[in-house]
Amino acid sequence: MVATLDTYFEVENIIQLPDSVVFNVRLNPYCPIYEGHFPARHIAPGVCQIEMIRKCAEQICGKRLIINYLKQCKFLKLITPDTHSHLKIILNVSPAENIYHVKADIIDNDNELCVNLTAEMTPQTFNEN
Amino acid sequence: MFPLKKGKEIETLIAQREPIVMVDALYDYAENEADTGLTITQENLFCDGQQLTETGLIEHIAQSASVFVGYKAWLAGKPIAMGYIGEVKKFKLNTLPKIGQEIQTKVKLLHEVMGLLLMEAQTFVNGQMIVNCQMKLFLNPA
Repeated sequence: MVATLDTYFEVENIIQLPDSVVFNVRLNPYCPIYEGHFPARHIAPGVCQIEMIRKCAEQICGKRLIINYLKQCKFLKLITPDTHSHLKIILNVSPAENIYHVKADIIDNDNELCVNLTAEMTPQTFNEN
Repeated sequence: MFPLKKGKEIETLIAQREPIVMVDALYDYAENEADTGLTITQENLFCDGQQLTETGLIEHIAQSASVFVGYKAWLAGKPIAMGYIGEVKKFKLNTLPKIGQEIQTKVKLLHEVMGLLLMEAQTFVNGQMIVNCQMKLFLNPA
């Protein structure tokens, strides 16, 4: 069986606020990625938090996005899916010419900031393959 | 280039295991830098369609840094450490690599203090730079 990230997380609900969008998500502690990250202790890979932010931003824009420039992404607290599977992703997506400025925070169920990201994303053009 | 370590041998240098091993060759090592590689296969966890995603590239760079640290530890006869990404900064993407291509990465250690490493990385396909970034990595004993 080929392992995928399709089962990594689920969006439980989305709340539209005046200047941001909040995604309440639930990590799947049984996602096959944890077999290797790490065998002795399950820790959500930092890159998978970036991928969740991208997928949520895509949902806001209604477009497939590419991260062209990741200005900064800080990982402030490890996320362990066995004990902290509920996360809040707070997104601010502002469109500019051909790009989206994306700012995001991920907060865990202890109300602690785990991830803080600032990036530029562009809609993917399908000239590949 | 004949690698110093390749395939499953990489698992002696890092704490990650399948399905998330994102380095399959260590080509060169010096005191403050290392050259690594990964051939992108269809089964790669971070592939989307025919391409490796940006987050796959970031994970490959983070594990390249871990391979550098792991090889250094191996030379010194010390155990390997678990590495976590503390920060990714100034990640600039030119193009995404495709299935079948080999990506090659040069990681350089800029600074090290108390288990926190500041690294700089450049990734190439056929000699063309496709991405560069800075990264902070935290090390914990495995």
